[in-house]
Parts: sequence; structure tokens; C-alpha cells
Amino acid sequence: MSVFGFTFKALYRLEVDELWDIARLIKGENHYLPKNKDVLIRGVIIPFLREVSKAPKDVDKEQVMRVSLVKAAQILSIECENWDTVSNTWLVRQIRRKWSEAFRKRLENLDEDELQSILRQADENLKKRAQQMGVSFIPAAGVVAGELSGFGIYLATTTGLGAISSAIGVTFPWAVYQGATTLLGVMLGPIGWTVVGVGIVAGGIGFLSQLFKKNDQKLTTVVIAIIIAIGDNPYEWFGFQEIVPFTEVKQAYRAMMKTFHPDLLQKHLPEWVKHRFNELLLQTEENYEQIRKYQPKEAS
Amino acid sequence: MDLGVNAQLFSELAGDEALPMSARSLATGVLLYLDAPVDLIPEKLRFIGLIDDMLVMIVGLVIIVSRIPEERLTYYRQKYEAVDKIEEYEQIMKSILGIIWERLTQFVETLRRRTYKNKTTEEVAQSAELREALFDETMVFVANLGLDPETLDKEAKLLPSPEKVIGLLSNGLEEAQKRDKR
Repeated sequence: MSVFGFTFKALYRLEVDELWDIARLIKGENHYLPKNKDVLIRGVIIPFLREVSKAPKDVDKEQVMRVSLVKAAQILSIECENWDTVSNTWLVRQIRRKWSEAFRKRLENLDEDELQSILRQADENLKKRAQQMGVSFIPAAGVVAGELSGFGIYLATTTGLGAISSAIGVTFPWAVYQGATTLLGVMLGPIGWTVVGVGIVAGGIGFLSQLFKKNDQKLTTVVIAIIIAIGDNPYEWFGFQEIVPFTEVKQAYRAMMKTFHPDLLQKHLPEWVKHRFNELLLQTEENYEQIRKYQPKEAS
Repeated sequence: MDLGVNAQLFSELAGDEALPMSARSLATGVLLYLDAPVDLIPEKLRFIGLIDDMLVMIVGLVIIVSRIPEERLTYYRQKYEAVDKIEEYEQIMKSILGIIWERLTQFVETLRRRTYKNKTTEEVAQSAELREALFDETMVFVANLGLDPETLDKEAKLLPSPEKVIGLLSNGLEEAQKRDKR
């Protein structure tokens, strides 16, 4: 089922700033780039992928994306029987899983100074995101301080990331939300983490660029950065690893709507939490619609 | 009038089937000139090297705009600022450049005879694939320029805008006139 293809046009869904960050990884920080989607995608990212993945010259852009995906999977030593017939979604899922493992391992072996610098970077990125979304800013360290201190931060970050980095801000199990209606629950619970997680991973892309300096590995970072930012499998939003029957999706959807609905929320919640819940509600509806579109008529 | 946006304008003109073939082939010719390694002023001279590209784009736009039917022209005027201002540019440039203006228009007209991958500009304008490839190449060209406006001097800072190009040219003209008087 190739409904959720990983194509060149999916790049246009990213924001200009995100594309600019990726392009600067490729061109270096001193090279000036205009903030224009066409220039960044067609002028920088696609030619780079074409060059590094050694795609033949007459191959079109969609196939270049595919070739570099396969190359990234091979570099990450993902096992596969037949590379030609594998679907893009399978590849994306495997790469995400591998990458989150590697990222977690790396975080566990960090010094405290290094971790502090990552958290600081994450805070800055988070601030930008929060301003864009109109949500008030919660520092990453602040969320952690309510529960943990010292070395606990590491573990908390890694466990939080385990869920988040598998598909940034897209995957989180819906069942966890059902009890989380008080402020503390929200702050320390998964919503706080998702907000932090987006920041950490946005910072993590920059951080990874220092890790991998060879060209081949740079390819993986770029492809992965793109994959993470896209993360467009609606089944994962409902907590499913694979494609499941529509009735199960329907159940999950109803349960999620009950938790996110503004009329059912407690009234003393602060504004930004309500706002965030409303966003989640809209995104749930969007993902549900996307799945419903491709069902046979009898099922829907 | 940014270089990247301008390339977008010309690629859109080349793909627009409502326009006459002469306008479309000229738009692809201008795109080819942007991408070509051989220029009037080479791009190696960092900021001066862009002046000739700007001139060719302005002259090309002047010729093309005269051939666009009115219904489409309103659309382009709304979408791109450069199309809206083109009459002002034309008058100013004509007064500054004088005889060179005519030479330039003749030169830009010859761009229609260029070839790309052994195809003439008309054939390129007609096939969608070749147009895409050409647009990709110009995007690579723009991305590789690497001109950082913050590190430039104050005068060169706004060079990619036609107002600045015109200003520089007229300054040069005034200085030349002063020299003549002396």
C-alpha cells in the first residue's frame, strides 16, 4: 500500500526555516542561501542527494529520493531481502527505528556538559516553535526539574525521546492522555514531553551534523532529518505500528476525541493547554480523514 | 526583484500556453542565459558579475511584456512586482543607456536562437520535462552564488535590485559627463 509515499513533493510541506537548516548542513554555515523553497529544494537538497547517492544523471527527482532512502537504509545496516520491491513506508519506518535507537545510545553516553548544551539548544528551538504556535514557553529543563534532577535528566530525556523520535510530534500512544487533565499531569506528562521533544530533535539535527562528518553519513542525516520532519503516516498518530482494520482506528479516534474535546476539558486549565489540546484535536481529525479517504465504501 | 523569484517568473512565462510562442521561447532564452557559463560579465567578479544578468532580465521582460495579452498581463502584474514596474524601468534605462539599449535588445533577441541539450528554445518551451530540468539548473545557479548581503559594502548591498543597478549606472554616467565638461 503506497498511500503515504515519500516523494520529492513532500519536501514542500516543510517550512522554509527547516529547509534552510538542512541546506546549511550541506553548504556550510558561511555560504549565504536565500530563503526560498525552490532554491533550497531544487538548488541544494536534490542535487546533493543526486551527487552523494550516485544516482544516474537521467533519473528524475522522485527516484533520486528513493535511491538515497535505500542508500541511507544500507548505511544504517538495515536487513532486507529485495531492495527493489520494498515500499517507501517500510523503509522510512525502519530508518526511524534504527535512528531512535542510535540517538538514545548516544544520549546515554554523554557528559553532563554536552547534555546541558543540547538542552540549551533545544530550549532555543522550542522557544521559536512555541512563539509560532502561540503557546507560552516551557523550558526543557524546567519540566524535568519537577520530577528529577542530575543524572535523571538523561534517562528522562531518553525515555521521552524513545516515544517521540520514532516520529517527531506525530507518534504518541493515545491511551496515556485519558487521565491527564490536571495541570501537573499535563506539565509532567506526555504533552509536556512532546513539546520538549520537538525542540530537542530540532536541535538534535544540528547536533548530529557535528557527529557525522563524512559525506556518506551526512547523507543519512539529511535524509533522516527530512523523514522526521515529514512523519506523515496517520496510523502512527493513533498508536498503531502497522496498518490495521478501519474499525480499530474508529475506536481509537473516538477515545481521542473524548480526551481532546474542549467541552469535556476541565475549566481551570490555563489557556495554552486548551490551545494545545485544540491543535491535537484538529490533527486527529485530519489524520482520521486521511485514513477514511482510502477505505472501501462499505467500511466507512 | 530577487534573482530566485525572477527565475520563477521566467519559468512560469515559458510554461504559459496562453502566451505567443515568441514570448515563451524568449523566456527560456533568458533562463538559458542565466545558467550559461559564458556571460557578458563573468560571475567570478562577485557582485559586478550579476549586473549583466539583471540587465538581460530587465530587457527580456520589456520585450516579453509587450507581447503578453492583456488578460494574462493583469495576472502577472498582481503576482510579480517586477512586471508592474517594468515601464518605469524601461524609461529610466533607455535614458541612461542610450545607444547601448538598442544593442542590448538586439542581443536579447538573439537569445532565442540558443540551444539546450541539442534542442532549440521553442522545443524547450513546449516540453514540460526540459523546462523542469532547465529551471532546476537555474535554481542550482542561484544557490551556488552565495552572496551574503550582510558582508557586503553598503553600496553593493542592494545590487540585485534593479533600482540599485539603475542608480549605479546613472552615477557612472554623471561622472563621465563631469569629466567631459572638464
